[in-house]
Amino acid sequence: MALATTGTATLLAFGGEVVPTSVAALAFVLAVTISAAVGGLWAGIAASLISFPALNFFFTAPRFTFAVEKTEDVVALFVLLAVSGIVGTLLSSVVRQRARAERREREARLLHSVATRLLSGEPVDGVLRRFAEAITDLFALARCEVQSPLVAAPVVVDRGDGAAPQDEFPMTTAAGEAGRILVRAKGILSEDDRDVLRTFAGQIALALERLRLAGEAQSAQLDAEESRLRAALFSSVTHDLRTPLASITAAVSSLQDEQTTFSDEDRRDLLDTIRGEAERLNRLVGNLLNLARMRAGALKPDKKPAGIDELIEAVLARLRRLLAGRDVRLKLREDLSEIPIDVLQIDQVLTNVIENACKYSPPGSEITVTAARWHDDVEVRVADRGSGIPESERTRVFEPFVRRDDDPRAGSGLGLSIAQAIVVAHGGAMWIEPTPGGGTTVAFRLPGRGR
Amino acid sequence: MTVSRVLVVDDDPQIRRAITTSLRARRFEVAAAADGEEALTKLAAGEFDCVILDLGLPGIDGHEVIRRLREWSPIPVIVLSVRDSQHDKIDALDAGADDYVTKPFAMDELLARMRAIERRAATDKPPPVLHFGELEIDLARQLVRLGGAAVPLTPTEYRLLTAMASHPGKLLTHQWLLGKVWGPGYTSESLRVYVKQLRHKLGEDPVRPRWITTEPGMGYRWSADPAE
Repeated sequence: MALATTGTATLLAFGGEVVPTSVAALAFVLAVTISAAVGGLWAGIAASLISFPALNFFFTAPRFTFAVEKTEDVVALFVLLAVSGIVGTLLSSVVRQRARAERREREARLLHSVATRLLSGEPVDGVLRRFAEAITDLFALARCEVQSPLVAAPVVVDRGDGAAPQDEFPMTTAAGEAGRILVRAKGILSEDDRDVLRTFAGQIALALERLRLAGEAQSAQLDAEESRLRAALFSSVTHDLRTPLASITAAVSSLQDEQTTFSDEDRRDLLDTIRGEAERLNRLVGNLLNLARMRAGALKPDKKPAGIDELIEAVLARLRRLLAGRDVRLKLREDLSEIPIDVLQIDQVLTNVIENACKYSPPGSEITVTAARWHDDVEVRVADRGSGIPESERTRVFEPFVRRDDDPRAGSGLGLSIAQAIVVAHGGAMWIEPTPGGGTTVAFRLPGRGR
Repeated sequence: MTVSRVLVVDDDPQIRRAITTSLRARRFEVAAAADGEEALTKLAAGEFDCVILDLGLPGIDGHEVIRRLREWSPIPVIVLSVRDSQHDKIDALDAGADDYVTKPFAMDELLARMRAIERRAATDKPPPVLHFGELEIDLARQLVRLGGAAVPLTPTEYRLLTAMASHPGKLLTHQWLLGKVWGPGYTSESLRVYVKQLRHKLGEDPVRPRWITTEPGMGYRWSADPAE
């Protein structure tokens, strides 16, 4: 570098035939300045050391000797040496400071982004891997290894020959050690770099510790939610199982009583009760099974193309006993085509929604079931003429164990939440609308073949 | 053929007792077996007209019982299965079962299946005119009348109707009906459309079906007990 710039300077000055020593000296000062700015302090010094004899040899009289005739040339030579020395030193320190500032900025940005990523819920091993790659580049490392109990296996970045790391930076916080950073430099790590790496280790340790605490808090919250749900499930299932069993036991024991004679009508009534309650128990068991699947994350629909219109008709036919005395209006659009559904699961959805409509509307009132196309999708609505649900409650009814108005007729509050879970598992949506003229409409949309 | 001797195979003693008692009260001769091994032994030793077989048996399960039984006997098999396993039912039908009932079931449902088996055995040679309440199907002249009035059917609708009506009470799977009416290579979409048209022409209310009931996800069933 020094040779190149001073050489150029020599040529430039030479090209202009005989130049005064002062002009040549200025050209060399420029050369030294450029060397120092681009190549650093040592390049500047080297350039000035080359410039000195070059100026002497080529430009001071007598030329092409190292002898100096004029006193002013001697002064010029020493001024050149001094000026270039000072300029070089200053410039190179400015350049170095700028480089260091830039690097500090990169380091700070890296730290910030690692901490943010860790706390924003990105996978820890991915974030630590990117961190390890970044510091490997930043410090020109041959190998960087990050160990932490929060990742299953240490994160390793190796740009060298796989040799073992030689430096270790523990990631410690007040709570203890959160892991360690092991590095192997290509050359020798400066004390400066070590300081930075130590700071890094401390900062990452803090972020990891916060992450661990957040995880603990979240799992504590989940545990609380889980046990609340379990308690609610337990009490409502107990209630739901006992109620039909109580009716069945009561009806059967009356029929067994040999002292009493029943009229044919009473007998039929009791037997109808037994059968209806047994069917109710069976529906509840279906819901509990789905709840168990849902909680195990196993509510995967086994989809096959099927006609929703046929399914609605079949469900209504099966629920005849429950719907006895109801004014059931069925409006199925003619253009309904088959859509991919799990027939058993959507059967359960329809059963739950229709059973729900029965439960919350007066006996004998009308229930309207409609199905229509919505672009490629199908929308189904089950409208009752009950008391309706205020807007603020409309999303709450899908939460498990929430019953409308604490009604004693209400079931476990499982029906709608399971129905919604199934529809969502199909890629659809379920919501509540008011029935025009009063009442509640439960609506759901299932994606058609286009999706 | 009349079904009079029945073997009930279920590992649950309460279900066994409920079915045997109900069937005996209806003058059937009933024997019971608690597992597949016992069932096969009894079937090999005795004469039965029908087997009611639970699929979830300890040891040799129901599917295996059907497979082994089918190697030497064409005896009708009605399978008992839980609601949750559509595949189970289809597998059992493929293995050679004649029909199924989903647990929990009502006794009248099981009896309807048994009557259907009886009727099927009896109608190996179908009479020239089928009667189902006010519906009359004249197979010889290819005429359909409803309450005395002729029902205009397309050839496909007629083939679909006769395919169903000549197997009363039997579950007819989508696949079977498609093959029977259209031949291979058709989808259930066309079947659904034709069933809908046929129902419409017969004045069927699908919610209170007189003749054609839908078995969601599996197929259709022509009513074994025509409404009067």
